[in-house]
Amino acid sequence: MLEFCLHVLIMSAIFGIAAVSLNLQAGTSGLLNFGQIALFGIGAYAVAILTRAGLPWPAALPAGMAAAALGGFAIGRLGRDLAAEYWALATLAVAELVRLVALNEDWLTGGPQGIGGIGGLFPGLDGMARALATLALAALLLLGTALVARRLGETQFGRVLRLMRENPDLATALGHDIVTCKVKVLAIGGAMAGLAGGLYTLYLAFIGPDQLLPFETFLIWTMVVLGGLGNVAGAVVGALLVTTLYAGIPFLKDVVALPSDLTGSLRVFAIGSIVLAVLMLKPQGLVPERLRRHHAQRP
Amino acid sequence: MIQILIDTLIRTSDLALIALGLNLSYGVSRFPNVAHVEMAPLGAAVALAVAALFPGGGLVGAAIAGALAAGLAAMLLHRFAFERLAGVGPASALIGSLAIAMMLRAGLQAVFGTRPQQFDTPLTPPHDLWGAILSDLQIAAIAITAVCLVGFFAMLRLTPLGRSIRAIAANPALATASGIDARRVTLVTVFLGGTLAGIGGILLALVTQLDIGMGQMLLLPVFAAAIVGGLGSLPGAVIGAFAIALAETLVMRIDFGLLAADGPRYLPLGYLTGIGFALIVMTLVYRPEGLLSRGGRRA
Repeated sequence: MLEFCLHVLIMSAIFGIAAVSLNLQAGTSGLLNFGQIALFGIGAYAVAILTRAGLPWPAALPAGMAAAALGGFAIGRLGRDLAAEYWALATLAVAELVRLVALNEDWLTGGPQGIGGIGGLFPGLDGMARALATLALAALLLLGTALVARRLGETQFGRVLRLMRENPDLATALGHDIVTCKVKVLAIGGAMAGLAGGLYTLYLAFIGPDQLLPFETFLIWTMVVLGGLGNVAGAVVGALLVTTLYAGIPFLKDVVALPSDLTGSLRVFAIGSIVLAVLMLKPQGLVPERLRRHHAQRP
Repeated sequence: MIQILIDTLIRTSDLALIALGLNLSYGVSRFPNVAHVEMAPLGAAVALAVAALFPGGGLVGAAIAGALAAGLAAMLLHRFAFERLAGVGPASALIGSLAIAMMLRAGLQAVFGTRPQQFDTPLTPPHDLWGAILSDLQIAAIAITAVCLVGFFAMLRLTPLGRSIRAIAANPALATASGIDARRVTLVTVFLGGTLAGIGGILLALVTQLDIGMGQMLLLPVFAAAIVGGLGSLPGAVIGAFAIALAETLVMRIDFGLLAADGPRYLPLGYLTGIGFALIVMTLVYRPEGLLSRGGRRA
């Protein structure tokens, strides 16, 4: 039981990083990235390939972040003058292309079997000590990511990002280069998502194409929407709640007699209804974005 | 050569009705509804259930019931979810439609099971048409698609309802000012869109089999067709479907080895589904307004 709780906490911290990254893109900057899992996956696969080649994980992790940042940069350049919903569909398509490459290029990615047997974190420790050390590392990285995201939101750059979200034409009129802002925020968000992906791979010692399904992007979106778009703390709270729920639902079959394939459907159904309920009843989420007073005052 | 044309037509008939329904709904509701493609498996599943419950009713009756059920579902979803979500913003509507798509798929899987099922159709020997192989069912599917398309466009051009639909798609404010009940016509339009998708799903299930996960497989090709043709453009949806079908057929049949002159070399089959995604990305980058539409590019 304790081990299970530790596992849920570690996964929450890892997905918390991915959620903070998505919140920076979608919440702060208004970029509807439906291909978040591609950035996560690029980091995950880069770390897997590099550690398989013998690189120690403290070196592989930054390399994975760099690869994912490059991916974010590319997605940002790609859709530089698209309207929001069109760009969202383009990112969904890019994520599927990344998954197809992972599925088909056996020589690099192991194909459908993925890459397993990765060295992993803290090989010197075992059992509980290892889980605790992993949790400490993941929580520390989540804290670092959250602080970076929050600091970024308070800078002039963050103000420009929010202006870009609310009124891109006004931002352009004030002399801000929207394309550069977009590309920058996607590269930063990409690095964060790559960090989450790399940690995920190192923790589970495995990465495969099934981990890159569009549903995973949707899961990260659920965390951000539930927590509250535009608020870093909200993304972390959302990640904890959704991960706990997602991990907990299979245990329902111990309480109520349910066939196991039904619990799979139930899990998806529950996640979907959370998003729908939040969007319809409380669109600002559990932890709403707080604008500073002189921002909030409108004529 | 003939086989390429026939294959393209078969694939076009898979995609055209569903893409047409998508663009029809987009024209009046103004957000890309990801849940729309789920109307295809829904219609097919209901048709199959009706055919099983009333064996005497015949296939046509079951198909009509399935198509109407899909239309009704689309209309109810619009009335009780999307109307409200679209009020919050197009981003919320997009995320909400993704949530509903997931829930519909999970619900269908829970009710109808995950195993593919088939309609009980008589086995007939395939025809040989100038060297191309074609079955009775495939001929029927192409013919029914063509009849539906002709009937739909005739309705759109010739009837008062069609005129109202075009008015609302072109300018909702002006249409309302002219005395058109925009809300009612929108609901009817969404019903028609769902029915078209339902027919498409039933035909697909008739020719191949009913796979409850078909919505996921159709999502990107159908959106590719809609986007290539121009989101919201009705003739564009049909032309887009043909373009996607042609691209998929050609890319699979072109021998890339001829270019490099080192023996036959085809694109790996695993990338077939990637063609739609690649076309989405290319269209969005080079001509975001699609072949036959305006808009899509951020001003």
